[in-house]
Amino acid sequence: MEIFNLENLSFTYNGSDRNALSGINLTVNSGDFLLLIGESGCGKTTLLKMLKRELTPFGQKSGKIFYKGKKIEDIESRESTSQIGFIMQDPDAQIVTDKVYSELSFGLENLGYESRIIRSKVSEFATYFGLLKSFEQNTFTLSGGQKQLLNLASVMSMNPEVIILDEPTSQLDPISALEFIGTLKRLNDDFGTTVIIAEHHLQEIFPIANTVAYIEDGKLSDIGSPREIGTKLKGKKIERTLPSSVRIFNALGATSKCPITVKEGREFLFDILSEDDHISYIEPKISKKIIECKNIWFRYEKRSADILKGCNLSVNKGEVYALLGENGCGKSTLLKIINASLKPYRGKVIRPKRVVCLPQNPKDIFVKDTVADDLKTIDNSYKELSGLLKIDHLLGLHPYDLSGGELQRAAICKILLTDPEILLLDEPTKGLDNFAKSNLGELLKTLTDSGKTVIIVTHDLEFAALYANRCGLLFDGIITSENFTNPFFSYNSFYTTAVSRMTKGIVKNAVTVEDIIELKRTEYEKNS
Amino acid sequence: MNTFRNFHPLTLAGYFLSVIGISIFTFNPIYLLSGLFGSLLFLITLMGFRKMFAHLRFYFLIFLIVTFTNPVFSHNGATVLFFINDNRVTLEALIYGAVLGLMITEVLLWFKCFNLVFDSERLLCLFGKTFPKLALVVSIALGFVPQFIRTFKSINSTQKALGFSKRRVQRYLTSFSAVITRSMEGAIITSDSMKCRGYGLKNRTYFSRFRFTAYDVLYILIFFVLLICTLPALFLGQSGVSFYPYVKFEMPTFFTVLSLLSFTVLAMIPSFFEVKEGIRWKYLISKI
Repeated sequence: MEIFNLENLSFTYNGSDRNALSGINLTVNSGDFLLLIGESGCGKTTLLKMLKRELTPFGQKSGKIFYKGKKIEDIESRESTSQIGFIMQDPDAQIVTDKVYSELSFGLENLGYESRIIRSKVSEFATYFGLLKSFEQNTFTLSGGQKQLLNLASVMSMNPEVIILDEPTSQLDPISALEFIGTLKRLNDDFGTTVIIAEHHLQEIFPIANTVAYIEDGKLSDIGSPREIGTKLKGKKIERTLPSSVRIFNALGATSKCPITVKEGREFLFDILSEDDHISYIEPKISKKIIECKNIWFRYEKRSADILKGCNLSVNKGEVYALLGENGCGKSTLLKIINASLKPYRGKVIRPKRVVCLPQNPKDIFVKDTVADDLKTIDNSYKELSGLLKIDHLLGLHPYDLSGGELQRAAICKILLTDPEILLLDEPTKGLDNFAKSNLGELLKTLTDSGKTVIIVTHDLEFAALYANRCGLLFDGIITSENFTNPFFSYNSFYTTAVSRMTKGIVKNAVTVEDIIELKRTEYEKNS
Repeated sequence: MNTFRNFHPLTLAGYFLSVIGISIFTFNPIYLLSGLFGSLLFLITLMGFRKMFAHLRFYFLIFLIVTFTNPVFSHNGATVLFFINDNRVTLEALIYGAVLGLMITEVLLWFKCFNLVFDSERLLCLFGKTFPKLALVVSIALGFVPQFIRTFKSINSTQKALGFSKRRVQRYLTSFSAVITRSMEGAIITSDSMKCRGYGLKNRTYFSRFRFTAYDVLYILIFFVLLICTLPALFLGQSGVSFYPYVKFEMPTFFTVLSLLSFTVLAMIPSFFEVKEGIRWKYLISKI
């Protein structure tokens, strides 16, 4: 059964002369899992909002949207509310009420159900989503991942036919993101709920989707199964967001079945790699230590449990050190201790004077109406630095109008004005698309080349593998494993990059896509 | 464990209204003492012995202040203790002050219990059915405030670390205005989220997780009976005490005794309830 049918849909925002969407023809069937991909600003969000009548933006629309054969303007409000669910990026702001259960019942109350029915529906969904433990809690006590699951659950409690999601995992850490996407797949499998989702990070979701639509400049450029789209996007800028296996497949110019999961990637690599292939790894030189934490013990309250239990950490001058570990393991706490905003009750920290921290939300850095005004609060001579960081064109804008990547660069610029020796970055890749991520990585390299030292706390293993010099895993209050990036990831079996998992037991020291491509390039050049 | 609060908010509200109401309208120290005793026991079950004592200091201070303020302003009474600036300080005025202090302390303590038992969701449950929109606004506000405070703290500490302005007040103001801007941004998303989930459709209902059970009916009846037994003596003036010129209690009648007993039982119900459930629980465990 057709759920959505878009006929030659175009849309222009009021006051803009550019088409946000142009001539889109698309059919979504019941039970589909449709993934929309495309660069930031390509029109994905606009397209999704057109499908939810309550959110349709103001502007010039042409073409038609049908929901189950009826024009979307003609469906009844009640039907539109309950059957089409919509989930946005920001886990916090979407939550309306103060208690978990009242959030779950919010939509049902609006639809005018009586208490008895609401009670049974809410309990059903709280059970399905594992929200039982937090049922009576205040919503603000939940973690970001739990919040987003709550948002999903409160939409699902209205029993929608289709759920539309606009980058729902961009603000979550990878593990919560994985859980969220897993839940989506389960909903799709168990109830046949149609899913339409826009995402930037594709490693996990790409194989789950049954249709992928690539949107470029407001046009539907390609649509097909993940395998087809994977090969079709070869050479495009968007390609680097695709799963590692697809990128390797494309880069090597293979023509067999395109591998989209780690398992298929392994099979593919098994065929093309031989035992002679190996990646050489040379241990880099170590410069002098600049930070040393010795035997750090820390707890937040007198009676609470220890967060850090004799943690040792040393960071060398001019390196990018990635501190990894799961949520709540004490990474941010350790960062605050290095930053001297927390004091350990035992242990010693040797550190230079000027250490600054970029908080998880870079918006915290800005308090003025324009970026330039904000930079001026630190130093009036910001021109040189702003040029270096390529934010000159953003100086006159309000900080909140910047995109995730731009905001981060501006925030780093403001921090650099204090001339720190050490930069601490807390989850710097959160909410960034791949383009912004690689920009950030390059920026970190420039900084360390000029003698700064950078410590990043991150969940993003792929980012750490590409840009960190050394990595450490914080677990149970101490750093349990620490090494240079390449051996760190190639020794780890589970907590490691997709490429490392793909090549485990096949070839050593392969951690990033580039490693494999580099290995095979000479061979391909020889052949051709 | 706190079983008393598991009653339906309506039952709880009825209970607190009766106890606090009676306490305010009596001036008999015996009533007040039994009410005080009840509230203290209830507080112990609510917050534990040690924590309650820490709280008591504040209430004791209020009691003292009221007790010693009254004789300064009121010079009635026959038993003169001493003179201050040619003004009589009498024993009766002192006792009157003590009783007044006792009453205020007792009522405050019951309010403290009320506060601990009656959180926002119970409050919402009471008027949510009649004013669903108002209930929603309160619920949104309650969710909003902690988020606001958290954002403020994180912005302020970031600004402090960046060395923004040595003067604390200026930093606070700047951070505050930044939080406002940010909250406005969030509010747009929140309103979208509300629209998506059908806010503004007709016939919005209100859902509360509390259920009114037969148990509630039973206890409301009990409260009502106790209230009926307490009130006549109060209205007939038989429980009265006069303080000036001498402290004098009325002769006890059947109604006075009935009334006093009923009120004492009423004041003891919550702690009795907690203890009973506690014992029953232990008994169950020991059976297992």
